[in-house]
Amino acid sequence: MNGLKNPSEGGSTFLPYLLLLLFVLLNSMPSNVKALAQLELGLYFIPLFFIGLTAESDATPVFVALFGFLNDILSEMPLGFWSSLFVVFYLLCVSQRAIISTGSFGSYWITFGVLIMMTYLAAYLLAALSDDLHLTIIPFVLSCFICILFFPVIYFPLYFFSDALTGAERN
Amino acid sequence: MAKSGIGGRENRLISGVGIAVLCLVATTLILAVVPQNDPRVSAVRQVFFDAVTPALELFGKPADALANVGDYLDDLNTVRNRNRELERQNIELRLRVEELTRAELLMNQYRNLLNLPEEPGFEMVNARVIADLNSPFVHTLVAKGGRDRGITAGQAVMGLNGLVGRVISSGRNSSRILLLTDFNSHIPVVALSSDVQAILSGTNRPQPELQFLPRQAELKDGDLLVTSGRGGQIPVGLPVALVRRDDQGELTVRLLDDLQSLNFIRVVMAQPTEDPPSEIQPAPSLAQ
Repeated sequence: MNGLKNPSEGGSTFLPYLLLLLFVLLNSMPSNVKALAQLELGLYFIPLFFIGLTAESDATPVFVALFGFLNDILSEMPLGFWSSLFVVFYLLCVSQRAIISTGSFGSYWITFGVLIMMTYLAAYLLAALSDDLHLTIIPFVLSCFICILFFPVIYFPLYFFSDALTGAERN
Repeated sequence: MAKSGIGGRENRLISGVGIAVLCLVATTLILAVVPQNDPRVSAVRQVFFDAVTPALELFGKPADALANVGDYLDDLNTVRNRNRELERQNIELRLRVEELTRAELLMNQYRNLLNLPEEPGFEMVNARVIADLNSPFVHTLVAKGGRDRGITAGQAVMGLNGLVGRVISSGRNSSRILLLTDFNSHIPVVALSSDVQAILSGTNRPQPELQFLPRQAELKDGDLLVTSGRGGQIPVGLPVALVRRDDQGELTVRLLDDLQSLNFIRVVMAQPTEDPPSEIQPAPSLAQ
């Protein structure tokens, strides 16, 4: 994989939103895998990254904030916690559009890694400011790294499916 | 860049990034203003879980199917070994039942001699876990079954072997359960062998810890901790955890159930004890 097309050419489908919803719901499912139970994997940030790089509608941040509220409700977090982090992550992605638009897959991966680390750091700071939240740091850091490792597994299919769907729409 | 914007494409009042910044300001304000334990937020959350319970159940089906496939793949030898183990446990349990029957008989005789009141019995309602909200921040579950099955806030929740948490809110057909490992969970417990009282507090780690333990308290490795019933919320005598001493000699507790793999829970249907009336009654003139 030498380089990816400019993401703004494709991805105007509902697929990333569907995947975002799916990961938000999956996050609250009971899991018998002990290692996963303590983690906040944040796989929903991968479709959010895609949305941040491709979405062209001005209503996108509103939808992103609404998905954040959904995650706040499902994950029993204070209202506004994940929604503000989702919007922060979206803004960070938008700021990177011009820089990585013609870059290789590696640059996408590295950018995602840096942005997700910044977002997790923001989450840590928000939790530290709250009296009601007590964060266990090791699972949190581990979640961040696992999320970065999962990036290609989710981003590749999302990119190609979305591109194919957009192509079919155009034809 | 933008296809549509507020005020039209040409005469845009605000850009896409501007809308995102406004959203960020709004969400941050909500985060700052609305407290986590706000009862209205809790009510909204409960209504939401009531509404999505069928969807959550449906989402859990593939995981259940996978677990069932895993069971089918157990080979004959494993099943045979398990059967042998169950037979051994069955013999042990029969002996234990005999001991308990004798103990019950003696206890009833002592109770009659001392003229002690009967402890209220309680029923249990089984419920299926449909959402597991464990994360580095919170440790809660959502169970199928709410007011339709008599489940109300404050009731104790048991796993297979012991207490796992308590109901924090119940809706029409779902209820939210705060696990013992959550940072906001504090349960009064007593050690069975030494009668030492303490508070079992969650730390958001896999095991909770004992707080307010008397300095001269002597807890032994293997002591069983049960609920003390202090506060009147949770019935007395529910088994909770075992006391363990780690390699450094530090006291730790080990819950009787693995909270990370709970699929079913049992809700104790006992009602919390009502507060006694205040001794100091306000003067009628002040009360009006």
